Amino acid sequence: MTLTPIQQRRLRNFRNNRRGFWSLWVFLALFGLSLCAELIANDKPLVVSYQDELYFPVVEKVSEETFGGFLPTEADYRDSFVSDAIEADGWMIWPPIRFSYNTTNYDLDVPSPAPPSAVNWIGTDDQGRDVAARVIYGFRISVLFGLILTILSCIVGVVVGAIQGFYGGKVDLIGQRFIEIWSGLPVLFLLIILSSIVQPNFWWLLGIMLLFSWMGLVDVVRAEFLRARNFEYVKAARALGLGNRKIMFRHILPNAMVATLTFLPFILTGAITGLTSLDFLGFGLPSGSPSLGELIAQGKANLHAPWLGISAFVSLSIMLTLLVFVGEAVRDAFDPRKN
Amino acid sequence: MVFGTLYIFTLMGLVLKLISDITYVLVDPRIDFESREGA
Repeated sequence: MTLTPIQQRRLRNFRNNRRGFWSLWVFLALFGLSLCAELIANDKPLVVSYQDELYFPVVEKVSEETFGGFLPTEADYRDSFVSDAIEADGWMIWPPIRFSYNTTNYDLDVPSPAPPSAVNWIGTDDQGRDVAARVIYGFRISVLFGLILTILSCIVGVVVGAIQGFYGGKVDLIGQRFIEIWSGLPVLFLLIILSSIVQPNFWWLLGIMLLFSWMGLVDVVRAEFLRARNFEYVKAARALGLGNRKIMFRHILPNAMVATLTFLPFILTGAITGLTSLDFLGFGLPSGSPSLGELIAQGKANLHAPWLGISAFVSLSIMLTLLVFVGEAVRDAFDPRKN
Repeated sequence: MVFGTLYIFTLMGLVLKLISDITYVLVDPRIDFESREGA
């Protein structure tokens, strides 16, 4: 792929912002690691060798009968009966954290929430679940939610903004009035009402939040289109007989995308904060899901267990700080006044 | 209280949107809000 001189200059500007450039790499590394959460924090071993047979419990279900047990259901590798049987006639390779996000540690010496120990690196929550595992899975779900919501809001926002800005007149007038009414709706109340009707899962929550998050980009794209539709190249394209759709999306949109791309990391940050706030209030992901907002709520309810609040705060602040630094670097890269 | 806050903030939003539309024309006089439906 060959880059145009403008794209090369933007890439150079982005690289020159060392803080943003390295923040992007650190964020990508953390996100990449969290995508492999099942291999880092799991209550099943990665590899089991039993009677010279290899099993991979992370990706396959192996019944307890396989290891000399009585149950046809999946083996509980944390159970001493199963682990002793395997160790007697083979070996197991465990992930670094031997808990998944929903594994309860029944072997705690103190009441939960238990403080950090060699087994639970940053302690357990009030239900005896490992906080480190929940932070890793919670980070992944937050970033994935934020990314999907950002992409979908971006698509809807850009299309609506483009149509309003390009056609102007009544289309713009009606669109703006609709957005004014829609943005005036009390989002939190609607979420409370909706979550009392349906139990919101990941996709429900995404849909509900998308209903109100697409308006962020409309004004930016609309303003760019209002400006660009009077430019000479657009008039030339129209004079050559090009259709409205082609002029909008092939000629004006690439110029309008600069402002859109600059906003993207900040929209992502907003989406993650939104999900965390809803989880904190109890209107977010269903109970039991690994969520940073729920961890903060637990930290608030258990002030005598500071590892809960601190771990959620540190992971959230690192994630949001990295994204803001990347956002600043993107903004600098697209700034035409910067060489 | 809640709806009062919502009302005030929505009203502020409407006024700000109106001001920003007027500012568009001041910043770039080429901007207009006329219809281009026949284009």
